[in-house]
Order: sequence, then C-alpha cells, then structure tokens
Amino acid sequence: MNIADVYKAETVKECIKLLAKHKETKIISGGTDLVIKLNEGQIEGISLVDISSIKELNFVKIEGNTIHIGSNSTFSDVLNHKSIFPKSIKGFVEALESVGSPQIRNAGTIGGNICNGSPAADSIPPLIVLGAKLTIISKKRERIVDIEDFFLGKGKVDLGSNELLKSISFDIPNEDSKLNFYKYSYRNALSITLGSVAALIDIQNNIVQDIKIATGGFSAYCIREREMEELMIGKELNEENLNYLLNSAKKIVQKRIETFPNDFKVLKNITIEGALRHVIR
Amino acid sequence: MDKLNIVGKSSFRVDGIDKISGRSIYPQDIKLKEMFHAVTLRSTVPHATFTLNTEKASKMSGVVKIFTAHDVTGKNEHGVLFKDHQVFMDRKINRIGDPLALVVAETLKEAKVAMKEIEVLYNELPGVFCPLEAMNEDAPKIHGDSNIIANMKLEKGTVDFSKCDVVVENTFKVPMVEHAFLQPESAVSYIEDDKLVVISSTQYPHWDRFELSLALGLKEENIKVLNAAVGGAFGGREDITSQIHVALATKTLKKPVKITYGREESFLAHSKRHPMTIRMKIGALKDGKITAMKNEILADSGAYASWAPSVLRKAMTHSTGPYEIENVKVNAKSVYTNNPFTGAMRGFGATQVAVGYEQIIDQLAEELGISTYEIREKNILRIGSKTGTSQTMYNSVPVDRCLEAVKKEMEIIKKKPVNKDMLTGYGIALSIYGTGYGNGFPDVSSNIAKINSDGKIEIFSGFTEVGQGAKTVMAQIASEVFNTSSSNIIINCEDTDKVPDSGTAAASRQTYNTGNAVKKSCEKLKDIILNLAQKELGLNNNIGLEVKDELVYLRTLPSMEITFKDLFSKYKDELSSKGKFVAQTTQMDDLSQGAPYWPYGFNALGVKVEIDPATGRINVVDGVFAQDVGRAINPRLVEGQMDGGFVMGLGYALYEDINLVDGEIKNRKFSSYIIPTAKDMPTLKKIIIEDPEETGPFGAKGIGESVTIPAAPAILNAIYDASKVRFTKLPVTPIEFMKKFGNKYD
Repeated sequence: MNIADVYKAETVKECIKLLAKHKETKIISGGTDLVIKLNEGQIEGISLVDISSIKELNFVKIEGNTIHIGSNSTFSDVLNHKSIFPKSIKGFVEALESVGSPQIRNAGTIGGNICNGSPAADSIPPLIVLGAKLTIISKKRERIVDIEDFFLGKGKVDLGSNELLKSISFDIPNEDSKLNFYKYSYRNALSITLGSVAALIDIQNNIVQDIKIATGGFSAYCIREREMEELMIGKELNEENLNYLLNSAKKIVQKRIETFPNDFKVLKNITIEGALRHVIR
Repeated sequence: MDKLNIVGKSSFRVDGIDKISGRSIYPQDIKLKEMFHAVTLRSTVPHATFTLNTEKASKMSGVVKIFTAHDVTGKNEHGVLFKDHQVFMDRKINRIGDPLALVVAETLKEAKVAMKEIEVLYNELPGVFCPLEAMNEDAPKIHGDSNIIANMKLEKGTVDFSKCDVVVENTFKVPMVEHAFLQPESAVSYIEDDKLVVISSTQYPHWDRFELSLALGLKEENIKVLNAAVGGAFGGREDITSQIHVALATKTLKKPVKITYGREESFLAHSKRHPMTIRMKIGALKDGKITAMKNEILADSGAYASWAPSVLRKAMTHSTGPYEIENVKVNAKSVYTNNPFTGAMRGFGATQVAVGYEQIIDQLAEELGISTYEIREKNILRIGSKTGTSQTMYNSVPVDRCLEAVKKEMEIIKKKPVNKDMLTGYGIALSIYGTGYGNGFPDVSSNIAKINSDGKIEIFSGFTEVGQGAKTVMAQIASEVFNTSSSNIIINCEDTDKVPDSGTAAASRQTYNTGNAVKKSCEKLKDIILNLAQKELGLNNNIGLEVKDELVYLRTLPSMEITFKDLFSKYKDELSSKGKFVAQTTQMDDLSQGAPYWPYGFNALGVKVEIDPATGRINVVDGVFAQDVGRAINPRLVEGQMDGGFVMGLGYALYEDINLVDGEIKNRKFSSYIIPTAKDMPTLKKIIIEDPEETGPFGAKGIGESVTIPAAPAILNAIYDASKVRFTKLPVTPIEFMKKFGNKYD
C-alpha cells in the first residue's frame, strides 16, 4: 500500500475544505473497495480524505413523501430502518440485503457504492428507477444531480475532485406500484453480480400502466432501460408480450457487447432473460 | 464390549477455546527479533528455459540476499513420491508458479520492491495442457521421455457385455479444484543451539524434516520442525512449500526468516485436485444384478507427480463403488502436463470416480425400470462380499443400514411442500472409501504414553491437528483407558524433537492408525501402573485393581489406593510405554487383485434440490446424511466432519473450477474462485451409523474424506430428477444449466 497522506474530516465543512486544498485525493469511508485497490497497487501515491467519522452524513429520514439517506450511511444503517420503509420499495431493501456479507454491509456505505461507479453496484438500479436525486457539495456550491445522469463511464462519475456526495433522496412511489429487484449471481452470499435488474411497475387489471427498468452489469455502468420499458407500457402482462420483451432485451444488450467473446455474450443473454423474468411480475 | 465412559461422548474440542478466541498461534502470528522477510519469485510462463539477472535487485535497499538454485546447499529437489520438484528451478520451468528465486530483506516491503527488479529472460517452449495430447509421442515432454506417470489396470473375471440384458455407458468430466483452506501457507525459521528450527503449518512434520535434510544437506537430528496451528489442509499441505525456502535462508544467513503467502500465491503454490475424464460402461441382468463394469480413467497430474500413482490407484480400485460386481475391467492413466500440479485432496481419487459410478447406476436403474433404491439394494457390498480387487468384506459393512436410514428420511422429505415456481428434484448417492496409504505400504503410527511428575498422563505422538479434531480424539481414547476426564490428558504432537513419527494427517488414517497406537501404549502403561501399585500396596496380585482419575484403588477395599503422582516419585523411569500400529494391507498383483486398503467406510446421502427455471440457480434445500463410523469417538466432531465434507462436495458439484487458460489459473482469488458460503448450505439431518470395526480403536474408523464423496453425485442425481438433464461435467453453474436446459442457448 502506497499512500501519500491521510486527512480526517469530522464535519462536512472540514471535508470540503480539505478537498479544495488538496489535489489528487480519494474519499474513503468504509473502504471495502478502495482498500483492496490500494493493497493490490491499482491505486498508488494518492492522499485519502477519511469521512468515516462525519456523523451528519449518517442518517435515514422520511420527510413528507421523500426518503433522504446520508451518503455515509452503511448498508446496515439503512437496513436498520427497514421497518419504516413502505412496501413499495421492497426491491431497494432486497438490493441492499444482497450486498456481500454482514461484515461488508457493516463497513460499506451507500455513498461509496454510488461514487465507485461500478457497473455491478447493487444499490444503483433500484435508485435509478426510483428517480433518486444526489446532493453534491463543494466549497463553492451545492448542486443536485439525477442519479441517472451521474454515471459517465466504467468507474467514472460526475463528481469533481473538490466535491462530496452528501445525500440521496427519492420520492416514495405511489401505492399501486411495486419495486422488484433481482440479482443474478453464482451463490447466495458474498457474490459478485453477474447482472441485476430493478423494475418499478404499476399493473392494473393485468395491464402494465407504467414501468421503469434499470440494469446493472449490462453496460459500462448502471443504466435506465427506456427501450425495454416502452415495449411493455400499455401491454397486457402475458407470456407472449413477456417473451417479446425478453428477446428484444437480449438484442439490446447484445448490441452493446458486439466485440466481446462468445461465452460472455451467452452469459449476458442468460442473465438478462433470467433477471427480467424475475422482475416483470 | 465393556461400557464406555468417554468414547462416544461429545467432549469439547481440546483446541476449541483457543481457536474461537483467536489465541491459537499460526506461523503468521510469529514475530522474532532481527527477523528477515522473504518473498518468492515465481515463473509467469508454463514451459520455458530461462536466465535470471539478480544484480540490480541484490543492490536494492534492505536486501540481504537473493537465493537461487546455485544457493541450495543440499540436493535441489523434493517430492512426496518422486523427487521431481526443485527447491529453485535451475533448468526448465514446467508450470506457471515454479519458484525461481527468494528475496530476503530486512522488511517485507523492501523484499517486494526488490523482487520486481529481478530480470527474468524466458526462452519459451511449446507447452501441453491437455492430458490426452500429452500422451502423443510428439507432445512436448515435461520430465524424461514420456509424460505418462502411471498406467494401471485392474481385471476381475471376464467382462462380456453381450451376456447383460441392459448396458449403459457415459463419460464424466470432473474439474481441477482448490483446497481453499482459510490459512495461506506461512513459515518461520531460526537457529536455536546449533539446531535449525522451522515452524510451519503442515500435515506431516516428520516428513518435512526428512525433505529439509535432503535439500539443505543437514542431518535430520540437526533440524527441528514445530507444527503451529493449522488453518485447514485437506491434502494441500502434503507437498512441502514455503518451509523449504525459509529453512535454506536461515541455514545460510544464521538469522530468523519469515515468509507468508497471500491468497493468490497460495493458489499457485500448492497442489490441486486431479481433474479426470472417467469413461464408464456398466451392464446388468433383467433382475437388476450388475454383472459387468468397464472403466477408463485419465487423470491430469500437471507439472509434477506428487501423489499421482497413489491417487490413481485409489480412483481405479474405488471406481466400482460400494457394489459387488463379478466382472470388472479398469484402465487408468495419469499424465504430466504444463498445468498446475495436482495431488492429494480429500477423497484422493475416490471422490472423482463417485461422480461417475453413482450417476451411471441411476441411469441403469432407469433403463431397467426399477427404483434408484432397488438397484442399490440388489448390488451393495455386504458381509462376505468381494470388492473389485477381490478383497473380502468380513466385518463392519453397514452399507445397507446407511441406505435404509436415508430411504426412510427421504420419504419424509418428499412429503414436505414444494415451491411451485421451482423445479424440484430428489437424489441419492452412496460411497466407499478405503483408509490408509494402502497397497502394502508400511503405514505406521508410533506413540509414547507417560506419567509426568504431576501424576498426569501425557501422550507423545507426531500426528497433526489440521482441524479434524485429532487432538480431542486421541485425548478421549487415552482417557477411556485411564478412566479419567479427557481434559486431564496432556497431548504433545507438535515438536519433532519430542514426539515419534505417526505418519501424515491424510488418508483418513489418524483416528484408526494413531488411535490404535495411542490405545496400545495406554493399555501397556496401565498394566505397568497396576503391577507397580500391587507392589506398593503389598497385594498378592493385581486382580481387582482399578484406575480412576489418576489413582489406583482396590475395588473390594477402595481406601486401599495410591496416586499416579506417588508412583511417579518412586518409579519415574518405569512409567512410560511405547505403542506402535501398522495397518494390514497387501500389495496388489499385476491385475490389481489384492487387499489394498483397510478398513473401508461407507455412507449414503439424500438431497432435495430446487432449480429456478428462469435462471438455472440451483439450491440444495434439504438433505439426510447417514455415515458409517465404526464407532463414533466424538459424535459432535463426526457431525462437524459430515457438514464440512458435504459443503466441499456441494462446491465441487455446483461452483468450483480452476479456470485454466494455457496453464494459468485465472481465478486465483476468493472473489472469483467461488466456494459455497453458509447461506448455500441446507440443514442436513445427520445420522451416525455404528457398526464397530474389529481392528479399530474401540471400533472406530476414519471418516475425514468419506464424508465429502457422495455430495456431488447425490446433487447431480437430484438435478436430473428435477430437469431430466443428465450433467456429466462439473460444475453445474447456472449458466451451464441454462445452456442445456431446453437447449435454448446452444
């Protein structure tokens, strides 16, 4: 491990000051991804800004119809509030429960999961279909970004070196909607996502009134799948329409991975089909 | 048999508190004054000649010395059967991961930085990675003129399938897999009173001492091996690794040296399970009686032989399963390739072949139109049966009882509700495992029992506690003889200077072999004590003298007593006794007929699986496991082995595969090499079947390997039951399942 310096911030104010002052820094909180990269020498020579003690960023609260989660909340912190979450965000809870192991959920934070920009991040697809907004702060300004627009490439996010993700907010979906999530993985714990899908669906009389779909692991980053959504809106939920969606979804995904080896293409076909079957219901 | 007081009770593990409280000392935990740190430079290509330039690296900050083949002070070779490994490579690289040099520096960081500065120039040679191709005459040769290490045959009766009413055949492919023990290799060495001391985590300290003496050019009496706590082994610690390098460095530098592998290096350093291609053909009469079986086995030994002939022999002799078959023919080969080397792993060849014989017998039952239970009931070994090697089963053959117990429980399991969204299936498997090195090889355990100055019983024996519970079992055997609590027995097993050789913690042999030696020495010591007590108490004879809680008393007049401590004060030198046990096996003839192993252990397993038809995710959700143990010395430890063995077999069936590309392990991390977790494990009902083995200590047999064998075939049979797809290649990952199920993705 090769680190230049470590700065510890106790408050948001201290943190954005440190970020403004020092270039070439990485923010660390749970460290479940960053420490591995440091140990393996994938990241070298940078300074760390440790935000793990910033208590004001560790919260889960419901204000009116909106849920706010502080970026420094661990997966376990959020899951401890499970009982106050409405049923309509069940898939968000399931996504957090599918993260790693109890030890990883106790250390890893939701802010870290988002800012890593991993295409396989478990918490992101549900947050995309919930239309979550990210509040980002720097010494100069505070801004709000749609989570969907936050991801720019594999591991690349819309966050300046002087900026800090403060919180994640989303509106509770209406009572007729349900949020389904499926993570396709090899085993039942400590498993890396092969592909995941979140769908926020409103079904009335077996007709899909509205649907939002987001995937992880089928693109360079987690994305909203509008093309897939349009194939289902207004349609009856039957095997024929579902099969049409599944076949189209495979084509959509295959287009993105044209240059990849055949084994990988087969894997993605199987995972998108299996995961979609689990969430469109 | 007399009533037993300690044997059969689930005593708490002797090493339990230390293990769960973190007090156990592993080599990783040891820090000595002025200790140097070492790292190993390993080859990155599979087949090449090479030159090294260490000039720049040796001048780096903190570097003490860089060791290469030139610095080996004894013979630059090692190996459990053949000396085909080198301490450091001097001629030719045979696999990715061969050790080229050892950088010793003042700090670990300096050693790592310097290692990057060693220049390696490879002159790559064509490699061979497929065992079938490796047998071609023009294939690149790994060692010598031929890549074939062993070519064995077994013949019993005359195989003639035209006499059978039903014949089925299939080819099974089992992958190379990793032991995945939790504690990676680590070793520390230092000099103490002119003696070289090596601390490591090994399965056989006395063998390590012998190999060190050859490679270092030292006499064995000038080396002491101390076995620290061992974080799992499963066969992966039988071939020497890190300890030979630190020992050489300490011998030369006269300073303590430590080495610890990370997970990725651990994947590279030790052996793997032999991948095998197993072709089986089996024939039966209309009534279900199996009359002929013909098997062909091809095993990939990788770059080194390790235990190749022994593993192959076990695979060949066990390929008929726990069944009596009149006519058998088997051909088995093991070959060198440029893949990672394979060797001992839980089941030692017997695990691989069970994937075949337990599936093909289900296929046969289907062809015959009889149940999977009926076909087994008709063919299993019973008292008086003869195995494929014509060995007579004369006692303790409770295969029928194992099968019956599983059948009964599976009826209950089948009545439980099923998940309608899932494909549900049920499968069973039986297995057989013969204990010991076998084939007439002298399989010896030695032991000394003594009374110490506190009047306590001390056991001295070179067995190793690798997690299987050997320390607890030996203490229970000794305490049974002396009628005292097992916590009063002092076990010494870690120091080669103090304890006699008791062989490897391998081949499921410690409970049976060393257990017998411990029992013998304790019984002899008890006789000595009774005779001395008779003398001290002024009695006419020793009739009616009993021992209990470290004293001797007269049953008819209990106040007439003398403590072991008092006896020690007078007869110190007499209170010691040796015990030795040699297992009875014979060397087989040219057609592999004979009595190669003893005793044999059996089991039966039934499982329920659920398969998600949308994703191919397979979960084992219920199961029942009946295990023959002869007699359970410690039932809770037996159940622990059953759970552990099952989960290892579960990984074999569903998850694990060393992903090789031109000899390179691509998934050498636990994030990419998938082993089961607690959440993948069903609640398993465990039934211990007791049918005492006449020659075992209190009737006990070893079960360490047996418990892992039936898991994979039972799961595969259940997958077939659920999906009607027969998987012959492991592992059945969700992707592999979906490719075959419905043929949608081919």
